[in-house]
Amino acid sequence: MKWLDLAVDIGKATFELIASAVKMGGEQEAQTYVRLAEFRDELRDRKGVLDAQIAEIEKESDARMDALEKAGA
Amino acid sequence: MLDRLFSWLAAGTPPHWSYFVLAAVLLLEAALGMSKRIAANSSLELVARVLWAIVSRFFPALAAIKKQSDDEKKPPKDDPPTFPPGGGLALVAVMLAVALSGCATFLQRSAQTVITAGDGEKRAEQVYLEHIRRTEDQIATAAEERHDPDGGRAALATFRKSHRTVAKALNGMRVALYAATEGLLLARAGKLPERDLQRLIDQVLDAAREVAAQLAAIGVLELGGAR
Repeated sequence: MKWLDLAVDIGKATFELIASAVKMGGEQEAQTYVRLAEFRDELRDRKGVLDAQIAEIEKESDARMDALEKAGA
Repeated sequence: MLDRLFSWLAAGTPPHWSYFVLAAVLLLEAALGMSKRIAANSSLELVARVLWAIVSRFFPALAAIKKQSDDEKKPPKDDPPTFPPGGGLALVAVMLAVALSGCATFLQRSAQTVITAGDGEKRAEQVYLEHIRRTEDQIATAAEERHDPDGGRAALATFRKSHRTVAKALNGMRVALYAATEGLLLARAGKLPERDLQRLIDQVLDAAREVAAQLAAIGVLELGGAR
């Protein structure tokens, strides 16, 4: 009977271990998908931002060339 | 008995239910016999204890629950300690849980791949913008020092033409990432088959390779490291 009780206890512990692992895995998965949804929104918001940043840098250089030209004239 | 069972199976005639009961009893007896051998054989018990120690080391929650159970049901001092037969069951269950977690995480792994690729794309954009800012400044400064606005404009035009492919590759990667992210969210809801998701992930990886190739082509990336 002692072994049977222990077997039942270990069975319960195993079940709890698997249940907690599944729960933890579920929470981690949920966090991943929250992050993924945020990432998707961020990607959508960043559409055209790179080109705009490049244009901004180029605008500065063009302005410097314009200023140089005016100074020369 | 086995011959009769096989002949029944071959003929498609189901055996009597009592044979199933007998088979179950034999299995139970075999399991109990194995438990007895573990208890009687010190070397086997030692192996079982080592296995149990390994499980306890990696799963302290399980060990704590077992300890509590042991404390509640401490055997008399003259009773030699024995390995609980449930330990084998626990080992099998733990291995099964690990195997199942390994099998069931295709979406999870894909999500991590997309998030990691997204971080890489952001970093590549930063490196690319830094490169443009630095080079444009160098060209403009050189033109100012020479008082040569026409030469400066020509050099800027050549430089801008040379790196447009990187911007194109980065924009392509962002589109692929967006599609993969949407695909992952759809796949999680069961609205996209895994093979279609795999194709989207492959497109992200192809786009990442293209970005790396284009960055290397303009000399920003060398052997996988940003300059």
